[in-house]
Amino acid sequence: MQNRILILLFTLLGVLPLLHAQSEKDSIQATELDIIDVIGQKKASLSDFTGASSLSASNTSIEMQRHKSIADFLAQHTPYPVRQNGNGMMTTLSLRGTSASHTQVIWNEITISPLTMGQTDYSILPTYFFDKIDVYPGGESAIFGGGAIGGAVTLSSGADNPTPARLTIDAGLGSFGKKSAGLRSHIGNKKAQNETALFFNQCDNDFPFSYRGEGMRQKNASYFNYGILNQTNIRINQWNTLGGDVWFTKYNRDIQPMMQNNDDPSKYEEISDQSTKVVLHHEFDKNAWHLRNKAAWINDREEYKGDLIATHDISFHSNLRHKIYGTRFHTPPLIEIGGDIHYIRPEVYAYKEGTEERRGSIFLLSQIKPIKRLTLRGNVRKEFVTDMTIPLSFSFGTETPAVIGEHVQWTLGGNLAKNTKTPTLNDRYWGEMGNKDLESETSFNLEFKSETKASFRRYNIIIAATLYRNDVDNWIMWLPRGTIWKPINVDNVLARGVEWGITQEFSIAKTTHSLRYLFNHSFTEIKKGFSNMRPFIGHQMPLLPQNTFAGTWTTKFKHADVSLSGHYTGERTTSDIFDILEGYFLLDLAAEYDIIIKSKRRRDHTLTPTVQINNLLDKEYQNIPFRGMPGRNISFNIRWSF
Amino acid sequence: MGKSKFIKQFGLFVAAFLLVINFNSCKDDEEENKKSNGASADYTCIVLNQGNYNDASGSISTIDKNGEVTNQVYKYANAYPLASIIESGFIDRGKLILICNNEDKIEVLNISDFKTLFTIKGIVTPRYGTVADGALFVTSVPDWNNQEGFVYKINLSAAKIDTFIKLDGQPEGIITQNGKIVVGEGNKVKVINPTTLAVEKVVKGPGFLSAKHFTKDKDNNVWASFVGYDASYNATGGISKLNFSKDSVDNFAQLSNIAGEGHLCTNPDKTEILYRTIVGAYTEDEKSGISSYDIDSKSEKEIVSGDGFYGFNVDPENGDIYTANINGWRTNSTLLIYDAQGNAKSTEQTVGVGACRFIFP
Repeated sequence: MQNRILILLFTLLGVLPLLHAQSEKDSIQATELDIIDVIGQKKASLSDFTGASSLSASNTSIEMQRHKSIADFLAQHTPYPVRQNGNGMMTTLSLRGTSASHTQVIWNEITISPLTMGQTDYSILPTYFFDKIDVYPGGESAIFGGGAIGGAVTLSSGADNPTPARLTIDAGLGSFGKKSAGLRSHIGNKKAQNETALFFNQCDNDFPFSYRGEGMRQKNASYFNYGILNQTNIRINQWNTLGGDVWFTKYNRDIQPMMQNNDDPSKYEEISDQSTKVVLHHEFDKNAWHLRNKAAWINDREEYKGDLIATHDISFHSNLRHKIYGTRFHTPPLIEIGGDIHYIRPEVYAYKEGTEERRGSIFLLSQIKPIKRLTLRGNVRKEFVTDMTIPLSFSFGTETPAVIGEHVQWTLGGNLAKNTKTPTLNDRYWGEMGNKDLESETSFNLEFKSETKASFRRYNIIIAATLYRNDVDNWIMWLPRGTIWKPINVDNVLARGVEWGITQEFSIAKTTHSLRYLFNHSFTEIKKGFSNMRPFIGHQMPLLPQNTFAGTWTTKFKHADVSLSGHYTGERTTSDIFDILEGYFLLDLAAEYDIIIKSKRRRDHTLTPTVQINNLLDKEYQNIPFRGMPGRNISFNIRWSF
Repeated sequence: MGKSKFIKQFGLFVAAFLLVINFNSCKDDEEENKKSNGASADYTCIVLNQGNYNDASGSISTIDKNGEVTNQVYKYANAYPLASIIESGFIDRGKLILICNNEDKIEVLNISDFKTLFTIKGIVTPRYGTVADGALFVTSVPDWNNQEGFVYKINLSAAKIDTFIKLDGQPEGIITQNGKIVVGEGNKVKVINPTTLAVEKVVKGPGFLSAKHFTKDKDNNVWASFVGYDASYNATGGISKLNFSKDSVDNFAQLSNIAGEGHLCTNPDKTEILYRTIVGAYTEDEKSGISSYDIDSKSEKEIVSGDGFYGFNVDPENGDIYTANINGWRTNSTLLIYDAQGNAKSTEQTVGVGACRFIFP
């Protein structure tokens, strides 16, 4: 009931501007519809070919939360369930009822999802590195590559901004011994640019929590993270650009024990994750032709209890994009062909010596707009994996504006995708337990979307809704066989649901506002097979809430930004169908103010103090069973830009 | 339609939309009360559900005389979940003693209402227990990579650990026999004095096999399971009658496909020893079953075959066999009840995760 009242109050906040708009005609002024205000010019990206719904983070949101992980960002700003094994601990994402390993994570068009486990730990991806974060729920592996059965998260960063040189230095302090510092620099001219991001975060993480009515302080949950990303672009001539990116991150963490084991040192553990990524890239851009070549080496290393789990992934990627002029179509058709090859050498204590795998894919992506009111998309990808046959993946999408009025545009669209996912290296090679006979997981994702944009002189709004259905076949699950566990293909799971969102932008007096409400109602059930999960047949899968909500209200007034975020995670069962985890509603507040320091000789400097209050209502909650989460906490940061 | 009128109607539509969404999104709050409740007072069987280690989802279910199952009995009796996995448990003088891991603890409950009377902490990975002279004795293996373990003595009146003995192997099953404590440890069985905790006897088991668990026959003889896996991961082993006067075992009976954990129980007249079997371990076609060994005729027979069996026990009143398909530890178990001949007696009902012990009060 309390959650209902809180969400009601939060949603009513979103209604107020509408009522205000009715009564005071002139008080709401027009703003440019700028829902996705991302810095930097738009780069060619595979995601240009998807017709499925997506969520994009605003630059304001990213800037205010530079020292948080992508995990915190997703938890706060998307309506998709994240599973946090504690505060700052391993975090996974479930898109539209699929498993954590069914989401592909892509950085500048290169897949960075771990090859061993398959599931990405979003707590070791620093927001500090990125300019753009997009979530593509629904899955479209023809575009995003094998593995994108549930969807994809794309992270973008780059040095290709021909903006003036700038340097940003920041430092912060927060509750529970949190300290952070970072530096972002951009230097360059029209010929060459270099962008560097450097950060560190440290936290004792000794927050108080309550267990069985007894107050405790969290033990063994500290972390220390640091990393650097350097990206360089050099324009060789009018058409060719060469570049190189180097990424290094190191995360040393205690593993937060379960609440009941907080005082038991025999349960204290720690883990270390290190990632090195080196990418060399070449771009050729002339007239209607655009060629992108990349060579990458990715080395992920995780050490736990003295055991090493590491992979080396050496890959080459080539994409050729062409815009076909001279056709009768409304706009020139866009096509892209490409391919990638990977040589993967794992270093995992449980694999046989000399284990290696080769993977590759070729694809064709296309987008055609034959008439003004119709966009068609068609994409196909074929993957190749050592000793495996992977089915073809494809997707088809269409979009048509059903109504185009003076102020309102209503667009309808649909997308059908067949997706595939290659078993992870652990699935195939883990000692006696690996199963080389596994088949790839496949899914059919069907979605219909409706998007209504209304744009008035004083007020802009987008209402979007998506109905989806995702059938996953050959779902891989580890199940006991005698005293060992083996990965098995376990038949069919069906996820159905609806997502809807409302985004409003307006200004009142000298303030401008952006409100975004996102709701997700998802029902994921087992349809057939999967005998080991039969108590859940006809029920929602464990740890997946049926209802989630994320809302953010950002207000700008002169040099000040204030952001109020609400997030609701509905009740869900644990692995025990009779054990219910309570739903919870969290409210976060962030504010920053730009102090402009005028300089006659040089450019102006900006000093930006930021304050963030997380869990404003001091809600006690558990994201997954028995992992304590902090109550109300505060952090201060100061950023100096010049 | 005028522009201002359009905006007004559009605004009202959005307001209504948001409110509808709000109430829909919270619908699950209303169902909070549709949960299981306390245990039926006339239950005839207590099911200990081990739970999933990562979720610490151990729980208790009860079955009443009509075969109706009540789940989450501990949680609703105590207002909190158990927050552990249940390794083992038994009843002693009106108290249900639960031996739990992750959180490592021993919970002592009142069997009439399942409320916790007291909790003992400080034993790392406690395994099994028995009671002698009013004291509780518990085996413990703190680290499976080290060949060492402990037996703790707990004063149940004072609710505290009295003392312990360190063993040079990993102790597992434990039973009381003629006032002494009998512990399975590696390929031997140790007899421990309950007062001094001195090891008084060492009974060697057959070959390389590990001593696991115990039961007693109609003549009050102690039988132990000695179980292991061969090089091809086939379960191998059997049961032996322990001969404490000769410090050796009598009648080692090699049993077909006895499962690795080696739990034992007897039929009501204690002439047969029942054990779990496993066939095709590590394969897609893995099958489990429950077989019996006739002490007099020295013959074995399969009673029932199925999938996913783990724990089992026999109702001493009528010989019915209680077990469950644990569904791969992924989620709740499916309760299965058979008569003494192996004929299914109940429709499938759902109990907790990893149903492992069936206790008849």
